[in-house]
Amino acid sequence: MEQKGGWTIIVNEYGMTIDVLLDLYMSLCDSTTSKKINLTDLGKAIEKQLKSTYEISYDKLCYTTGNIKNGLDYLPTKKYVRPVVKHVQVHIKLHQRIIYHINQKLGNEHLVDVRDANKLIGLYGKVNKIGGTEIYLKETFIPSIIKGLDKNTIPHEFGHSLGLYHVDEPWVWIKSMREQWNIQKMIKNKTNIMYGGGGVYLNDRTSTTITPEQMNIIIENYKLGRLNLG
Amino acid sequence: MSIYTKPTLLAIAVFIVITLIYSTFEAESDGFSLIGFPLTFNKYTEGKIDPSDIGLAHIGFNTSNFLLDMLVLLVFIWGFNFIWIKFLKKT
Ligand SMILES: [Zn+2]
Repeated sequence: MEQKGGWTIIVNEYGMTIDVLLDLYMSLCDSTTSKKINLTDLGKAIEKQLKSTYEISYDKLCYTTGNIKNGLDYLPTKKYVRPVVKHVQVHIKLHQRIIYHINQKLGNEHLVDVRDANKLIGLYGKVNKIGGTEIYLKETFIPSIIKGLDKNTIPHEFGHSLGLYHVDEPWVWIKSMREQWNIQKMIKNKTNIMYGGGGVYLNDRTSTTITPEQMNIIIENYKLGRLNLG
Repeated sequence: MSIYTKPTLLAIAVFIVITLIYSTFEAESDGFSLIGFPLTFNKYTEGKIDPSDIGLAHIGFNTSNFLLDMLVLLVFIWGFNFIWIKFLKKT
């Protein structure tokens, strides 16, 4: 049976609580010539860092609608819209699998592929596209990711796979208005994961957080079919 | 050879379309965007840059490649004008 893969985002509402589950099927591959990457340790580091970044809780303003019965027959009932603050709790669940060649990746399963340094010259890593299913990491930086010295690269690249853009690039507003941050917003969110390479606040150790607004964008991206793209 | 407006504009338009098709746009997802046809004259990324091999990546604007691309554009313009004069203008 074809394994279900890629991101699935399940949103469940219970009264005043909203539970969000980010569920990911992924495979890990060492495509380097030396084959010295400890994929088990890398998998553990990925799980730890993604949980640390994405398992957030926050309050969200929602609107509930209902009907007020008039009480008299034949008279229409009144509709109302009432603002309510609901508590959002995000969980992340990873289903990891080690593969020995990228051809073994199943269906829409995500791929984390460690590549030789000469295949990613000048880069740390990249995603095949925004909302894409393939994440490439340069072997040079794997030890610091596993040791926890670099806590940004993994959540940042997975952020792209969840459809997030860099918040400090000049033309982001064309693609996503809410992800074009002004200086004040950057100062308020200095530890955000989605700063681009030239970002003044980008730091491998401290750029590890996302905002509730970015989480809402991720959920919207999933609903709009902007994730799990080839 | 005389240069005419219509074939020249058409040549520029075709050249721009080919350049866009030939270019890759991966900067937003931390890869490189490579602009230029037939040679890349601009290479940039929005992602983190590895300082250890930044010299090998040849990031930035490449003037000599740009001039060579412009030379190819001139060939396009000449070719389109040649076809225009030789075959289309008479009809
Ligand atoms: Zn990025």
